[in-house]
Amino acid sequence: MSSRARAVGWAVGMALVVALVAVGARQAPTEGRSDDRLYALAGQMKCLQCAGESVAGSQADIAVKMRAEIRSQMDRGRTDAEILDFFAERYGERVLLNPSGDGVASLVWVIPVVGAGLAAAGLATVFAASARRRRDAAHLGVSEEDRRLVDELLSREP
Amino acid sequence: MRSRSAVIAGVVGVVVVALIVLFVSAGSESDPLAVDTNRIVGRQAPALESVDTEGRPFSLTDYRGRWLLVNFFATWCTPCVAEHPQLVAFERAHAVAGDASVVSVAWNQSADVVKQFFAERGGDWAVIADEESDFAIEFAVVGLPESYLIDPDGTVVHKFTGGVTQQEIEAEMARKR
Repeated sequence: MSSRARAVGWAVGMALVVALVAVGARQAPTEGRSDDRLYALAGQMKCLQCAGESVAGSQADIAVKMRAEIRSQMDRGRTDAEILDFFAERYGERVLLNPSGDGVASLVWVIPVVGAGLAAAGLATVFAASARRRRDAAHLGVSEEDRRLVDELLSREP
Repeated sequence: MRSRSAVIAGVVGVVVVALIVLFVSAGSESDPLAVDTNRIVGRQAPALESVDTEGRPFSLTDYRGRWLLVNFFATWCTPCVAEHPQLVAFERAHAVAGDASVVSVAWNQSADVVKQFFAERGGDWAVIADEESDFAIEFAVVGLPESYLIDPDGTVVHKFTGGVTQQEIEAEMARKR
């Protein structure tokens, strides 16, 4: 594969990743009274009566009541931040599935960034070493005679 | 090369151990009710208003000047049924002095069902059928039964989780006096 084809492959791959991230990060509505907004907000809260479920996905009594309260606050024109704060003020920060950037909880945000940085640095190191090896090979002084000999050997029938 | 591998293995090992320590210290979430996140205790009780099961206007602020136990329950909840006689005894013990009252909030139940429950089991205090009101959310209730003790100044001073006894309520009142 030529270096040009390889570059095109990388570019297409990167474009695909960016497109998928953009689709995945599509914002739910942040105003209005739609069910999309209701469930987006409920999905950011933990069902405190259940293990491992959000308020959006649970049918527990408390989750049903919390969804009704979210709906009521949406109807009163509250913003997303105001609604999430309302629940955090009463049930504590632990009701929020997206942790704040304070204290130990901030590690949830820091670790992926540090991990991505380390991964990028690792890839850059590997690519740089590979390029260095190719450059070194180019300086080994392979003659036309050597190349012709290799081609001839490779073309022989086994 | 060998020393470099050892360094990488060491760093990975330290990170893995740190993550294990972090998750273990964060506590188990297998029983969500074991972690109480309620922020209401210590604050002024919310100034809630509604209509009781008899159709009378109800305001939590009307109870200022005396102790108040706000009890969240449901007629289908076994521990709630079990604690009910204790609430009746507590209310009766303070009826003459008038220094403490009980208010019950029925979780997602109609007034008729709740009235039937009180007719059978006793209890002469205001009851709110919390089908539409936001009492449970305002008090950050998670499970049933839960009771909140409010002092005469209107501050929520204690939360009782699970069934409560008259003795426990009296003891908490004595501690907070």
